[in-house]
Amino acid sequence: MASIEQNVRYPQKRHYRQRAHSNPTADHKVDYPIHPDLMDWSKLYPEFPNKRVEFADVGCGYGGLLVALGELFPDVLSLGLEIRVKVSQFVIERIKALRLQEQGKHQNVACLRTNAMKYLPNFFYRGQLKKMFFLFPDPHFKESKHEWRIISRSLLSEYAYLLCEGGLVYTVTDVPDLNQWMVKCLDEHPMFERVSQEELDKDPVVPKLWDSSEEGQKVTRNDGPKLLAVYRRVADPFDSS
Amino acid sequence: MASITGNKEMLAVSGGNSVYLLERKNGSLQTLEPPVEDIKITTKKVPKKGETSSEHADKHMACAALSSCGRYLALATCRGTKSLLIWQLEGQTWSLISQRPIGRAASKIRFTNSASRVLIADKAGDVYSFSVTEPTKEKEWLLGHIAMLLDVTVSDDEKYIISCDRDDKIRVARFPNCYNINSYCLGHTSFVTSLSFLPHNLCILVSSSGDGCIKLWKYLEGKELLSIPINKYVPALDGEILPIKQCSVFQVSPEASLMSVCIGSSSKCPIFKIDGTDNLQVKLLCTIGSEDQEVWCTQFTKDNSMLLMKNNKMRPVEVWSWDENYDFLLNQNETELYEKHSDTFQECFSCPSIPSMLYRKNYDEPADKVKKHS
Repeated sequence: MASIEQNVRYPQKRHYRQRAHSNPTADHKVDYPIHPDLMDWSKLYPEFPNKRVEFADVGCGYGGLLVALGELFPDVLSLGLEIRVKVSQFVIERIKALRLQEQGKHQNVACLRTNAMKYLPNFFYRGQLKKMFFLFPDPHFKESKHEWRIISRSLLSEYAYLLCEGGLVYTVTDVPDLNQWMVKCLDEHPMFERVSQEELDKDPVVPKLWDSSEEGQKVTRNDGPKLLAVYRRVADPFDSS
Repeated sequence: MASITGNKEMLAVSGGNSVYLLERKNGSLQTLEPPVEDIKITTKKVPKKGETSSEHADKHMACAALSSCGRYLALATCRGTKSLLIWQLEGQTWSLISQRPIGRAASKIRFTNSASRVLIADKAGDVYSFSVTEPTKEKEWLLGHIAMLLDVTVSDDEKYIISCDRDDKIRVARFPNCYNINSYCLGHTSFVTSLSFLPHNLCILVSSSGDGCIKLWKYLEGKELLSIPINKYVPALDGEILPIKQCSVFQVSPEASLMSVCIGSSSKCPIFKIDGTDNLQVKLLCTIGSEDQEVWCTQFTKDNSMLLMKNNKMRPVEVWSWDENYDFLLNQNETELYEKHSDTFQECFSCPSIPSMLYRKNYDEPADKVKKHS
């Protein structure tokens, strides 16, 4: 009915702009549970009291991919993580509005303002995640800032811990240097194996990476390079050697 | 942080940029330090606003470790070209067998049980392994945290490596395949300062933290078994929660261990007895410490002694022992042997035992104030 639509305030991006770069190693005042047992997910997913998050969009920006994931996988809980206050606020408002606008839908997506580099193990159990997305991460070009990159040899061990065996890491960027860096880190990590193009052609998520995220749409408009690298979390080869 | 360790024959005190060895039977002192060329400061560092130049130069302290066999000594220097030096005991002399650059200042160094490697947990968040058996082999990166590391340890069977950081985390990974994280021990609410294994049940990890607690964990499962709020036993005068700098554990029977605790800004060192293997019981035995000198470090040694390092101009090193009733007594004779070296040790106390940077600042980003549109 018209009255419901009138009450739904869809947030406008221009009120939620924030500079792209944030120092992830700084002590931001961020809420996080001391232990995954202590996290109350019912506030984010009130309609799904017995489910666990399986897809994580790390650095979800304005939430384009997140919403698309929710629609593509209605039985899976997807969570967007964003460190920038204003941007995460936008996504939270957006999801609230969508849930009101389309009753019964978008209950399986939510956004958390947090520092993914520091607190992922506080939110998720070992092997809980099935997919992790790293779309257009900050390249942090300066060599002194390389340790701020979201894909690094240290953090990949954490992601390997959070993903189940067979779980997937999707990395997307339009910066060739960053793509090379991410591919190198992932190739060198013994618990990740690159997914073939053949398999990617069959993956329904792949097209969404370009056409649902705001950054992806920008790259398409500007005809920029579409550098995708997807890896599967595999068993530790050390045990079988 | 300056520290003390030792065995039946000697004590090793680290501080400044060297390690001081004290022979226990006669109190003689030997200083082991980097070769002369290294002591020169290669780059002139400008003190930051508000810092005096001496505060700045002493921001880091050297770290030392003694292998459990007593034949190797390692020192990670913090001035000049930061390096890891390893000495080997040949007869009565310590000869330098290795010197390799380390890059970043070390928070803690340790030998593995077999003394085949030295592990360095550095302030940038990384753990590096240096071979002892191959003294010129290049260092190997083992793992990294985002936050600064405060301690690292490897299980006796050398199957697991445990590291703890400024961001309250304890991470348990496989060893030497350290990229394979096994579990996290989550529960501390402040920086984690030290890690030890409960000697009478090695499946249990003992951790100390800036949150004022000692926690015991079944580390392979990441399960917290017990939390001991030290401030309950040794309350601060103003009710503030004091951070725990470190603790030391020592087995006294197949089912019991002692634990001594070093508290930040406190002259008191409580000693506990931990009984049981699955069902743990903790009892406070006594609290050592008098006068107003801060206890800097506590360490049990294999010969049933307990060492205390105190910020005391006359007596920086104390040696204690206990009787069958767990009454602790100062070993007067041995403690007096070390008094003549008190001046040498003063530099160990030149920077705070708990640097203020360990505490989180929790700042608000400028964009935290979001305009709500009604």
